[in-house]
Amino acid sequence: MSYDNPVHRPILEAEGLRRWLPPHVDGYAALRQAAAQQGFFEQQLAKSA
Amino acid sequence: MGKTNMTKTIWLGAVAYNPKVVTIWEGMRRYFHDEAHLPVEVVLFQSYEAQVMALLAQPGDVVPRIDIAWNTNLAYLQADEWSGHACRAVAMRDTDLGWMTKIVAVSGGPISTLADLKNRTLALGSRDSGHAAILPVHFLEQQGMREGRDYRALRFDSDVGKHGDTGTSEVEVVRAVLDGRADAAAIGSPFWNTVRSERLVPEGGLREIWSSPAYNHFMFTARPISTQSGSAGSPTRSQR
Repeated sequence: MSYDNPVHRPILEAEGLRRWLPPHVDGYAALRQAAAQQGFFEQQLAKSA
Repeated sequence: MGKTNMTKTIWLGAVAYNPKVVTIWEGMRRYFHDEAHLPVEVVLFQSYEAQVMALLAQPGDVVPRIDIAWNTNLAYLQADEWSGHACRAVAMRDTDLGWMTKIVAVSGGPISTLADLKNRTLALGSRDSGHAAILPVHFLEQQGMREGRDYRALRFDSDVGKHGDTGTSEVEVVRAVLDGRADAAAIGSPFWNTVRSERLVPEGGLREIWSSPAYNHFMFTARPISTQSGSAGSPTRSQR
């Protein structure tokens, strides 16, 4: 998708980006630690639902 | 991209935190079909919990099943943890890089540093918002400030399940500071930029007293290959 393409542009603007990027997985360490400490990894909901 | 040999539907999940999400994913789907020639269908969820459940669903589970999820940072990490790190990060927005949490307070008021928050009230956004609740509590703890011991938290859990996407709780925490119910507020850097650029508060009324280190936000997350059971060919191709 290209920001310069008039068909793509409104979609990208609505989603709040100019460009898709490959994953930068290095920016998640703080949240991983915080979420673990605060219990956000403890409950996997209702696989048995 | 040319035509592919894939004929099986790639199910892509997103959370509808706002009516505009329908329009966005209609446009995305049109792009996938008409230009990328990928048989993508979009499933809209009401919560990230349900979306992650669908991403990790095993054959036979009585839940919806998707191949790729448009996940917040928290949902991406939950999927990663709960899959034994078998989910794959696929793509993100340029704007998902370099988010920060800002602590803001009334200009000229008693709060000008984090230490000034001692025994005072900090307004926090929805409890499952990385930028407006989870990370500020974490970063403050790293600075020696613990919730309940060193400061009081006034929480606005207005969009739980949406991981702070709606922005509603961030509006509420700023309002709480302006009307004196809280001494400071934790918000994400994009909303802080909006507050200033759109003059949502009187100019100079609020000031930033602290900024967190940078972190990243959304991530397209693909289900583990071992549990795909043939419903998706090559999910990474859908991100072009």
